[in-house]
Parts: sequence; structure tokens; C-alpha cells
Amino acid sequence: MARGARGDEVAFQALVERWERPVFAFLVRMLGSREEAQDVGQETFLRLCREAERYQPRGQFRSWLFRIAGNLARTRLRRRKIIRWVTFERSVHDRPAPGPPVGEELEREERRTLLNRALAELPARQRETLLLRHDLGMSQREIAAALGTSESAVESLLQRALGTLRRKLRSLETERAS
Amino acid sequence: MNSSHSDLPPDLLDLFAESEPSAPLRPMWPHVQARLRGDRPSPRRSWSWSWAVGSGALATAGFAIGLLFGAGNPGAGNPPASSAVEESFWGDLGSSFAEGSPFALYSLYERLESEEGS
Repeated sequence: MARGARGDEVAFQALVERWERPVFAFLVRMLGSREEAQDVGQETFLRLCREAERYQPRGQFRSWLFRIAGNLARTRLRRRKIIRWVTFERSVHDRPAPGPPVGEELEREERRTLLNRALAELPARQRETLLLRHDLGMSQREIAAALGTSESAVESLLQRALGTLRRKLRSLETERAS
Repeated sequence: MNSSHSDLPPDLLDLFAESEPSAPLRPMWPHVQARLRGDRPSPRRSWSWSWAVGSGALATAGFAIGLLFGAGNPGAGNPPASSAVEESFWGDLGSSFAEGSPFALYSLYERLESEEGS
């Protein structure tokens, strides 16, 4: 990052190639659209390169990166005036589909779809917190830095997000069973 | 990762864990690089800007100096300007510069010439 701040393009390129995949995956789940995730991902790295001089080496790079990505994603959601995903099906993932799932795999596939739908219905801030925690495995301290809030606020956000997620999942399972 | 009340139940944790990160639709670096290069003025472009500004300033200064010498030292064969006309010239010249317009300066020069001629 320090090399990038001095205008070293090779360093920036390595940085983008190292992080584009997790940033893209995060944005797909935030926005529910691969095209928009691509746009916002590019914008994230552009912002990162432009603001490289402001980066504090003692801070967590990952928190800084996902703070930019999260802010841009929420701005995009506000612009769309849609706070929830409309659909979030299997197609947003790159998982190979060699054939129709059967048995246990079918069950897992359905649960995965339910999880994605339930996630999609969470408020953006709660969804972002859950993704940072469980998709990216960030500590609460890192999430607090990424969201610009305190660790206790993160704990509270996570608890609310999980409560909402469980309720949504129950409701979707009931809907599926009926 | 810290363990707390906010952790997912094991079944959901598995689902999160097995969701592999998607690959971007296109590599992002070429787009970012192009935008970054678009941000920075190239040496050639900055050179041409400074050249344009510098030559413009020189042309304006040359024009003004030419007018000054032309009016204040009209050359052989022309009578020197009277003191009243000189005063008027310098007074009006100041206001022309204040207006910042070479055209105003030129019209002043024409007016003074016609006054001298009459």
C-alpha cells in the first residue's frame, strides 16, 4: 500500500488482483446484482488508489477497503431506492451446476437459497455486518473500523441481524412447506 | 474470530462457509488503470498547457508594450504628444489595464490618435 501511495502502478495492480474476488463477492451479496457489483468494485479500487496517500499503515487494510466498498454499496442502494434485494437466486454464485441436485445436495441447495433470500431482506447495515463477520471472517474490531462505529455497536448490530435472519428464515421455511 | 452471542448457528455457519467467493465478471485492474491514467495530466499535456499560457501572456505583454512605445514615442516625423494628451493617455491606460482588455487599450489608442490629429 505504501508503494501504491508513491504512485507504483505494479503495487496497485497486485493489490487489486489480490482483493477483487472477495470485494466482488461481498458486493454481489450486498447489491444482488453481478453487473452492479462489478461497477461498484471497480469504483472501490479506484477510490482506494486515489486515496492511498491517506491510508494509515497502523490501521487494518481490510477494514479500510471494505469501508469504501460498503459505503459505495449503500450509496448505490439508496440511489436505487431499493433497500432489499428483489431476487437472489443461485445464479449470483459461480458454483458449477453439473446437473440437477438430488437428495442431500438438493436440501442444501434449498437451504442456501433460503439463506440468500433471508439475507436479501435484511436492512443494508445489518446485512453488511453479517457479511463482514461470516463471509469475510472479520473480528468485531475490524468490523467496527470498517463501519466507523464501536465494537459494542457491532455486537448489537450482529445480534439484531441474527434475530431478523432467524425470523426471516422461519417465515420462508413455513412458506416453502405450505 | 471471537465467539459471542452474535455467532451463527452451526448449520447456517456451514452455509456461509461453503459459499465460495464469486469471480468478478471482468478483471478490474484494466478499468481502474485506465481511469487512473485519465486522472493524471500527461507531461505532454501539462507542457502544452504551460506553453499556451506562457505564449498568451507574452503576446499580451508584447501587444501592450508595442502600444506604449507607439503612443509615447511616435517616432521620427510625428510631433510629440502634448502634455494634456499624455495625461489623458496615462490616466485612461490605467483604467484600460484595470479592465484587462487589450481591445479597450486599442480603442483608447485610436481615440488618442484622432484627438491628436484634430
